[in-house]
Formats: sequence, structure tokens, C-alpha cells
Amino acid sequence: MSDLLAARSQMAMSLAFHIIFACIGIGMPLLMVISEGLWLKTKNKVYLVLAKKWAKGTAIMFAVGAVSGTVLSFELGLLWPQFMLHAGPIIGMPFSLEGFAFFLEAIFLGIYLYGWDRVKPKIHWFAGIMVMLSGMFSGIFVVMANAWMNSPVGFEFVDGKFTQIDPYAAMFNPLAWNYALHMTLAAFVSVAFVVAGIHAFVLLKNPKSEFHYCALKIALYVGIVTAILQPLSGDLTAKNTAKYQPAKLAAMEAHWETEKGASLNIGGWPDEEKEQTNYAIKLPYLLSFLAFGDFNAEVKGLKDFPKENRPPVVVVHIAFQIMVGCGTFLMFLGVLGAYFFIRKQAINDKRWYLKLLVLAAPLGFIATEAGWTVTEVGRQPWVIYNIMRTSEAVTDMPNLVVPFVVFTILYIFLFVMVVYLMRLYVMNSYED
Amino acid sequence: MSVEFLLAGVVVSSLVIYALSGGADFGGGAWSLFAYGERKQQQQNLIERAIAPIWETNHVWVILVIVVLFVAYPLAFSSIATSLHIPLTVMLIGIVLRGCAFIFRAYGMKEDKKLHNFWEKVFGISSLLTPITFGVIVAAVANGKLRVDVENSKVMTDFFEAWSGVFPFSVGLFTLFTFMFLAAVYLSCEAENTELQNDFRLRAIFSAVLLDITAMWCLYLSREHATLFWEGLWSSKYAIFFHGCGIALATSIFLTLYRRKYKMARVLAMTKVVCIVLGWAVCQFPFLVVPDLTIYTATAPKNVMYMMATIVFLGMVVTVPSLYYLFYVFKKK
Repeated sequence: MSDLLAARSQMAMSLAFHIIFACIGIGMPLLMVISEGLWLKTKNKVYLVLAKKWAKGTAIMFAVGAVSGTVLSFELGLLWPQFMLHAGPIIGMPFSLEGFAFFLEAIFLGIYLYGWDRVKPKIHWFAGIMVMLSGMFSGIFVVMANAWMNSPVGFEFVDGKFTQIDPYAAMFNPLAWNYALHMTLAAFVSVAFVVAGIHAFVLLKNPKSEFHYCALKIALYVGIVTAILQPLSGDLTAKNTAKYQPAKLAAMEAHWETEKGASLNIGGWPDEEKEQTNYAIKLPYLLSFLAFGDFNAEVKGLKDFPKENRPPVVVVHIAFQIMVGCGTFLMFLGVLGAYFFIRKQAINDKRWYLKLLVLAAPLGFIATEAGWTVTEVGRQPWVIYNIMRTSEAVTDMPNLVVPFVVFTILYIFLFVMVVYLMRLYVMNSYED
Repeated sequence: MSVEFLLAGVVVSSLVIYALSGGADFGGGAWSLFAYGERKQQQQNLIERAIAPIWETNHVWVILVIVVLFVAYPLAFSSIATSLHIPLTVMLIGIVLRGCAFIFRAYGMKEDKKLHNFWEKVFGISSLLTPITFGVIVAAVANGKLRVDVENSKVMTDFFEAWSGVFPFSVGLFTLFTFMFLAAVYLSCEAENTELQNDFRLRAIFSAVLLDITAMWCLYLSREHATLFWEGLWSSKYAIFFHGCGIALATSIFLTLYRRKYKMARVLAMTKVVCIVLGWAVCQFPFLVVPDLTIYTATAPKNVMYMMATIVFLGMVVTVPSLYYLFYVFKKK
């Protein structure tokens, strides 16, 4: 394994691990705040118990999220010192803001988790809202910095030197709001459907439980709204990718020839040697329409880019198919759920819907991981799109496979532990 | 006052607060490992209660240091990250294990004693190792062996040279004892009964002795192993002042602990740690990475520096009252 590959693998693995806990840190506070708000409004004790249960179950996620986030902030320097040397000042603004958002999140989280009996109920609820907002902004700031790597602006690049740095322009780069929206919605969708799945699972065994039905409803409110909005934000992202990163779009779609009225590939396996995509279902004109809102628009194909500037097509295309597939299924579940709520139909005796929810529980997170793969692998071979190659950014440190293996073992171990503890926790709550 | 000085001040202040808060959390973890006697369980429970609501917040100070470094002093950050890759990685593993072990341990493991004890051990050992590596890293930045070619933005030192040796490891031990001392003093303040108070009083006195001995030892070593640091000590009146205060406080701390004036001891202990960190910063001034990078070399452009300072200021306006409230809720007594 080359040092570059080891560094990329370590970064990818650390991100893939952290993103799960970061999403939970964004999504769970919203559910808890809704539940606690309902308790304050209705004085129905179930909502209080629910908020407390969720809070206790989430404490572990926050802790793992906080430390794995710390690892990432160090790894930026440990693995990519040449990138940080130049990019640090340019994307400093979102990162500094993120630092303070993280501060507020940690402070109010302490009050939220350990202050049930120490502060007044309304202040406690307010602390929950602060955790949610600061967690959300924390994520938004980091994603804005990542968006800059994909659409770098706010500097002049002359003779390998970055001058005329404008941190404000860099932060509000063309993709910033789009990425922030797509990721924030993804966090809510992922968390809402995991929670809905868990409570649906218990409801299948115990359909009369008011506690689990309330929990399911709150999770579904959030899940329905965000799962229906997410494909719209995804469409926006695709259009922006077509505009700012045509090579990434071509890889996502496994689209080789530059043509007008390009057809959309569903599924299929790209052959990078022969430069063609096999076994795909082709929907004529649709790619042109989805990318540019015009059935006859010209879509650039991969063959238009020199081989050394193309991202790995197979990974990006397959990851994209997975993301879209999962997202579409969740949207479908969301629309169904919305129909039931509008018709005021009870869900707890619709066993087939509950079963679908259990099945769909991991799909949000799978979509999120796949989506990140699309963004990050699709940006390759660049670390700063069209400016700096990933191979130029890596550290001189030799034997990078060692830290990669160490962190992988560590994270697998921690992940297994978290799953084991959560299982224990859910099982206990089932017996209650 | 220049913006470079201001941001370096932010780094130093964050390190001071990190030592006082996050440092003590690590110290507490170390004491959890060394808990013994008939009140072993009580000691560990006290430590857990003291740390639980605040450790994640205390931890953010070190993130702030990292962010200010890579935004304002990118060459210093990338040089440190490159040449100190190994100790930084070890420290990260320590940070991850400490945080995870702390929360896992408290989690529905009442039934599974074996698993609980395993994570208790991990919590203690990682709390012990992390401060040592932290001290090693600080010493490596100060001892003058981390060389940077500023012209070409390149690190000249290999991956071991700057941090291996007796000086960095002595500073590592010194850091550990400092954190353990702070934790013991805090815990003697927060203990709910006299026996428990006595337990931590003894620990405070014991670690204060270790702290003072290693402090002298590190100073002695710096004459040979961190020459610029040693010269800084004698050429700046502030450095002499802070180090003098640190030494002078030693006796009064022993006295207050001996006479069981715990709240007074806490104030003095905190002052002592402030003196230690500031004394170190002043000795090193104006170097960020001794001897090639000062706080004025290879900084980010001026507009970025001002942006950073503004964000820190605004951030503090929001954060400080919230922080005050957090400690008010959990630490008033």
C-alpha cells in the first residue's frame, strides 16, 4: 500500500466513522427537543420519559463524536500538511466558527444531559435547542469548508502561491449553501429513520405501547419532511455539480461521451479500460434534463478529460446509485407516512408499514456514507479542485500504513462496542 | 498590540484554561486508576461525577488551539504536524480512548462487571498516557530541535529527532504530575465527606511534591537540552517573575493543604498552574516553534489574522457567559 493510499484510506475511514456520530449529534437533539416541548405543552409524562431515554441513549454518541472529530482536525495536519499550509488561512473562517459552535454544543450538552434536576424545565428545554442549533451549525461550517475544496474561490493562484486571500468569499463559495443544505437534511433523514426503525421494531412485538408509538410519530414527523425535501436538494446538488465539477458528474453518471440530449444511466458497471458502461438501463435525454433543466443540453463525458484528471469511475458511479436508491426508497416511505398522517390513520397496527420502516432503518446512513464517497472520491485526483492534487498534499511521513491499521482496528473495536451497548440499552427499554 | 501577539495570546490563554480544566479531567482519570483502599469505589464515583458534565467542554480548548494555529500560523502547524506525527498520533489515540472509555463505563455495564472493569482500566491508563504525550509535544516545540526551512516551507527534522530524548519525556512526566496535582486539589474541594477529603488531600500533597521535583529537574535539563528556553528564562523579567511565583506558591500550597483550607488551596493551585504555563510561554517568546518560527514569521495574511481575531472575540462573547453558567450549575458549592 502506498503512503498516499494509506493516508487517503485513513482519512476516509476516520470520516466515515465520525460522520455517523456527527449526524446523530445533529439529528437526535431535534427529536429530544420536540419530545420535551410536547411534555412542556401537554404535561403527558410519556414525552418526558421519552426525551430522557433518548438523551441517555445519545450521550454515548456525543462522546464518540467529539473525540473522533478531534482526530479529524488533527489528521488534516498529520496527513495533509501541504494542503493545510495553503488552505488553512483560506478556509479558516468556517473552521474557527465551527470551533465556537462546538464549544456551545458541548456546554449546553453538559447542561442537557446532566442538568435535568438542576435547572428549570424551560431552561433545560432551551439548552436542548442550543445543542441542536450549535450541532447543526457545526456541521454546516465544516461542510462549507469541504465545499470550498470542490469549488475553490477567494484567492489568486499564481506560480504555485495563494495570494489575495478573501476568507469571506472562500467560505461562501458557490457550493457552500447547497452542500450544507444537502448534508443537514441527510443528517435528519438518517437519524429519523434509524429511530423510527428501532421503535417500529418494538411496536411490532408490542403494538399497544404508547411510549414507542409516541417515539415513532416524532421520528416520522422529522423523517417525512426531510426525506421528501432531500431529493429536491439532491437535484440542486446535481445541477451545481454539472456546472462546477463536470468530471465528477460524468463519473457519477458513468457518462463517457460528450453529447447533447444525453441519456441517464441507471445501474450498470463502468469499464474504465474500454471507456464504456455495461448493463445500464438508459433513459434517453434524462441526464441532460437533470443536469441542466434542458432535454437537449450538452453534457460533458469522461472522455473529454485526460485520464490523469478523472476520478475513479466505478466507485463514484456505484456509490451514487446506492445513494439515490436509498434516498428514493426513503422518500417513498415518507410520502406513505404523510398520507397516513393526513388521513389520520393509526400506524401502529399497519404491520407491513412498520416492517418496511424496520427494513429502512439503516438506509439513511448508507445513503449518507455513499453520498460522502461520491463527493470525496468524485473530487479526486484533486484535494483542491483543479488547483492542488491530493498527491501533492500528503505528508512526507513514511509507513503511513501503520497509523491507518491502528486507527482502523481502534475504530472497529469502538464501533462494535457502541453497537453492543446500544443493543443492551434498547433491549432494556423493551422490557420496561 | 499587534494582531500576531493577540492571536498568540489566544493560543497561550487557551492552553492555560485547558490545563486548568481539561488537564484536571485527565488528572482525575489518573487518580481513578490509582484509587485504592476501603473508599476505592467512592473515590472513583466522585471522580466520575466531577468530570461527567464538563469534560467535553473542557476538551474544546485544545481544538481552539489547533484551529488558531492552522489558520493564523499555517507553517508552524504543518511543521509540528509533520515532525511530531508519532507523538501526536499517540496523543490522539489517548484522547479517543479516554473519552470513549469514560462514557462506555457509565453505560448499562452494571450487570457486566468484567467489561466495566476493563473500560475503567482503559480510562485510567489513557488518562495517564495522554498528558505525558501532551508534555512531550510541548517540549519538542520548545527545545529547539524542530528545525524549519522557512524559505521553502519545509521541515528539516526527521520524525523522531525533535521529541525523543530525556527532556521531552521529563516534561511529559511534569505535565502529568501537574494535572494530577490540580485534580487532587479540586477533588478534595468537591468531596462530600471528610474521609474522602482526606484521601485527596494526601494525594494532593504527594503529587505537589512530585510536581516540584520534576519541575526542578526539567529546569535543570533545559540548560543543556533547551538552551534558547533556558536563556529566555534569565533574560526576561516576566519569566523570572512567573517562575518565582510558581516556586513561592509551593510552600503556601503545602500549608493550606496541611491546614485543610481546601478552597484557598484550590485558588493557589490554579494560580500556580497559570504561572507555570505563562512562565513557559514567556521563556519561549517570541518563538512559536523554537528556533526558526516566531509568532511573526510565516503568518497568514493580515486580513485573515484580523478575521480570526474578530471571530475569537465574538465567539468568546457568546461562549464565556455560557461557560460561566455551566460551571455555575455544576460546580457551585
